[in-house]
Order: sequence, then C-alpha cells, then structure tokens
Amino acid sequence: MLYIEIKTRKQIDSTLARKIVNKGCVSAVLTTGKITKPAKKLFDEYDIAYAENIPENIFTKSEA
Amino acid sequence: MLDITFYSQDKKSVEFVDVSEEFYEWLSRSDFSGLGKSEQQKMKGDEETVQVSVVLLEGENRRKLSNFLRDAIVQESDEMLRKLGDSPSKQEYLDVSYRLKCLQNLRKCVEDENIKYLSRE
Repeated sequence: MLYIEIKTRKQIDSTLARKIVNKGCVSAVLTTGKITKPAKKLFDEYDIAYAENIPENIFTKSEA
Repeated sequence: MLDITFYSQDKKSVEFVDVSEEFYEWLSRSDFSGLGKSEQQKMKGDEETVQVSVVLLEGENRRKLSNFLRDAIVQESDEMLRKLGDSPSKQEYLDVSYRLKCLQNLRKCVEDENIKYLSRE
C-alpha cells in the first residue's frame, strides 16, 4: 500500500532519500525542512512527489 | 514515522531508525533522552552542511546508552512473551514485536564503533 512520508527533520539528504526509495511504498514525501538537490533527483527518478519547508502546524491536529 | 539519525566519524548520516510517534514519545520521556550531552554540530548532508544537535557516541555516552537499551530490551522481551500467548496471529506478532525491533535497531547502531554521533531530534 502506498503512503505519504512526513518528516520533521532539518534536511533530507541523499542517504535518507535512498532509504525512503528502498521502502518501495512511499508515493510522496513532505518535510518541514529542506531536501537537497541529490535527494530531489533521486525522488524524481523513482517518481516520488515531494514538498519542502512546510510549516509544522500544518501537520498538527486542529482543535475540534 | 519519525527517525533517529546516526552519523559516522566524518559527519555523514549513515543510519536511520524509524520509530512510531508513540514509541518516540516513550523514548523522549525515558532516560534515553537524558543520557549524553547534546551539542550543536555541523553535519554533512550532500553538498550542504546543516546544524544538528548530536550526542558524541564515545566512552561513557556509548556505554550508558547501550546499557539503557539492553535493559529496555530485557523488559520488552518479557512483556512481549506475556502478550503473545501460545498462538498469536501474524498481525498480533507484528504489533507486539514492534517496540522490541526498534530497541534492537537502536542498540545495534549505538554499539557500532563506525557510528560516532546520535541525533535524537
């Protein structure tokens, strides 16, 4: 089953990108930090969508 | 999923241990988060460096973190055997063994002499 990976780290480098790619079930990566160019290249290669610098409050639960 | 990152001597990320939010919260409330002093260091991430709060995995830091994880593994295996019963389903087994797997993965990284820094951020 495909899922979206959410990260709160400062930077996603190619080592982490490779690990995410190897999971084989990630369709997109969203992160509060930056994604390096080599990491983006890897995601492009494996057709994984990505978005960086997303404010953390987007991921936190809103009050009912 | 959250991950705990380990860096090599030359400050490159080499291992990531994925943990659930629940397990991460448990870790942050446990002694694990207080062992070893974290300090800001520049780590290498491809062509850019990034300031990361890390613990140097040497001497006492490595020993204490390893001991903490080993104690937690002993407790967790006991708990796991108690919960599993005689004939668990595959899903039950996966659910119950999850924390033990995380603890073992963390222990292997902490005890790996090629790894020099731990980031708990």
